[in-house]
Amino acid sequence: MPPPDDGRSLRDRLEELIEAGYLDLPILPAVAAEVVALTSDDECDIRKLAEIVRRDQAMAGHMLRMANSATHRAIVQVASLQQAMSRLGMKLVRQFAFVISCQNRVFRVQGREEQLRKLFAHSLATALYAQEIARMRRSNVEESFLAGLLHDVGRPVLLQSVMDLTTTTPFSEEEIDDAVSVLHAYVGGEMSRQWGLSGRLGEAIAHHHNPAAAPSNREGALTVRLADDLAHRLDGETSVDIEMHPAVAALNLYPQDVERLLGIAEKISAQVEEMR
Amino acid sequence: MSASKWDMIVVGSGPAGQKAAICAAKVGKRVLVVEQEMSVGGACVHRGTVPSKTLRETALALTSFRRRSGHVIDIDLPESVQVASLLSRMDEVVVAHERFIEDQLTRNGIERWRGKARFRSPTEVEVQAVHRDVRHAEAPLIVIATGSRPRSPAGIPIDHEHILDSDSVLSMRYLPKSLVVLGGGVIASEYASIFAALGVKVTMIDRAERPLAFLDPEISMRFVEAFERIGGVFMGSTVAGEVAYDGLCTVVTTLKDGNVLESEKVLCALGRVANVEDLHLASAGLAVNDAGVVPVDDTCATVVPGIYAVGDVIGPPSLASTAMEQGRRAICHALGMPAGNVGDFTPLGIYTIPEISQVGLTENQAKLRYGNAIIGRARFDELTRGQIAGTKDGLLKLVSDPAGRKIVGVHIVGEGAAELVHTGQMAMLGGLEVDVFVENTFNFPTLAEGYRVAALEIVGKRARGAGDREPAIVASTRRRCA
Repeated sequence: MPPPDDGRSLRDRLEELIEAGYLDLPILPAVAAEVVALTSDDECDIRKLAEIVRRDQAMAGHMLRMANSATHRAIVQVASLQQAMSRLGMKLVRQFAFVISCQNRVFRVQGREEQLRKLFAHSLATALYAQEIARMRRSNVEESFLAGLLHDVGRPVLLQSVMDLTTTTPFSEEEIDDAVSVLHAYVGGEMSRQWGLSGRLGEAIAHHHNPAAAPSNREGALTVRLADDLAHRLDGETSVDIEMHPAVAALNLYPQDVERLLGIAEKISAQVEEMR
Repeated sequence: MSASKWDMIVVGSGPAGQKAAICAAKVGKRVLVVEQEMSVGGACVHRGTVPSKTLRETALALTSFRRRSGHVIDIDLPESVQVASLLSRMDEVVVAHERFIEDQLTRNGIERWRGKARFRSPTEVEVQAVHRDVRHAEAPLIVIATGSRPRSPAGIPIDHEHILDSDSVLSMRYLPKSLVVLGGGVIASEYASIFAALGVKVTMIDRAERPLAFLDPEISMRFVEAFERIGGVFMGSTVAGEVAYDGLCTVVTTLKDGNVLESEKVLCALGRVANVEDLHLASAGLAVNDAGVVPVDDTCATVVPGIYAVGDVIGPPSLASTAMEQGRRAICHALGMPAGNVGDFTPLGIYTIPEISQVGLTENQAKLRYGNAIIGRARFDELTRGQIAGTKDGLLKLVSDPAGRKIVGVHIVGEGAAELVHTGQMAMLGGLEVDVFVENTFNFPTLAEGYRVAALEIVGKRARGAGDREPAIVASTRRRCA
């Protein structure tokens, strides 16, 4: 329950919600409907379901939360979706997906759904780029994908909270953008901690805008930083020169590597489009 | 752009490059080392020898603990134990090793450039940095030490996620429930036994009838027995047809005989290829041979005067120890310094569980060379130290000439083999006879006593005039592994 309006700024009020743990990751209505339809069918296409869980940040986040939850303590700290699916078995994955779709909050705010859909698409593009960077660097592909997928998970969480607060107080677009931009990385890190994800993953998410601050997983944060900008480039939302990107030198990517990353833009766009 | 002038340029800073650079710097040469990675050390430090041995130490500690406690106390790794936490010491070890190499290079006044080098002529290289900056360097002596990388065989879709190679296998963040290892060489055998010791269900498949086919068959058979005792399965004379991820959580390996293996991950360890693509060898007048490596003579000199190649880039044995020696010998030859005798006395250390090491000739090789050989054996479980340590897998095999005097080979499988072999190596280098192990005292209880036990057997056979005339052992592991 949001605290009452007392004239404080949106950011202050969001910080208070974060402090109190009033954070909820909403699910896209279309995804929830698709998962319910899929899992209700006895002939459920398990590969399709696994693909949705893998590629949708909310489904992925909730699945990991459930896999790491107290009820399933036998599989402490699941590090990746593949690991979760392997340990849980597909029967349980199917049940969990159904529960997630039915019990979690569905994001329904007039005029904001498109913004959220874009956000989810951007997260998937970031995940796909992050896994390619990891492949080049021979670092962990599953972890990098997940860090990319969840790097902005704080944004839908905060937007949902903003919408809840907006019912009592209207906020300007500028105020909303500012608060979400400033707080989302921290909230993402907090969510991953609450879900019992690995500290490395939490660091990559929490420090993706400032990799130098990541205490032990700077490479993970740098990977997400670069993947994030590559994904923004797909949407034409950044003019960053990828070749001169600070993460490029820090990750020891040579011009040939950067060319390969730039060369897979179409493939990644197509993969993102498939999931829409 | 004018090129900066050096006495010597070394391309690559792995064990071979480092040693070459330091040797030249120590005699006052101005040396430039070009390294494309962020830090020095090469694959040995970052993706190979050092990290895998760190994981091995953990696996070894677990197996040793189980064994020494007589299995009264058993440790099964909880599922939650992640590879990362098992490798917790890895970063420290790697950083310490890296710093040691850095210090050594700095102390010797060796300049280091980070970038990819390619030849522009036999005496000049162009170095491209990450941000496209290009520099040129020139020297009358250039050493190629660019190392190797895992081979990616056609038809095996290595994605570094489900199907890994030896460069990406240590990036795993959790222990898979099951692992199929493709290959039967050193890297395949090392990882297969390490993961099996950590409780992973490992199946190793190889085209050859037995793994580590170049070893004395008795030694590799012992390895297979030990591997299977900790839960591993070796399938010899088996070839993987298709390897594919099923999109959920299983990799399906379809064998050529139609059988199917399912595992959570697959490790492809089917050889290595030399890193030569970026070098533009043709600009220096060089080319790789049919095996894809840079051909060199005994001194590591290539066909182009002034250009040497050392380490994995010239092909097997692809060992850090040999690479270092090649680096040293190349510089000695290039600078007209004596390099010492080259003999058959380079030891081979394989960090499987149990450890394997050898120096000199195998029993079969000795019989081919001398017409016959006398063999002495010491099983670790017959040695007091072996009993105390609960070591069942150990065997020390001493090979002598048919007269039972000259030591021509030492082969050891068992804990501490890589250290233990040096006693035999020194005896061989010193030209000592088998009797030296009988007539002198070893600490008690030690595994080194195995030398005395094996030597006594040779001396006994010698006295009876009995050489090992039975045909050399040809191991067959097929029956066991079927």
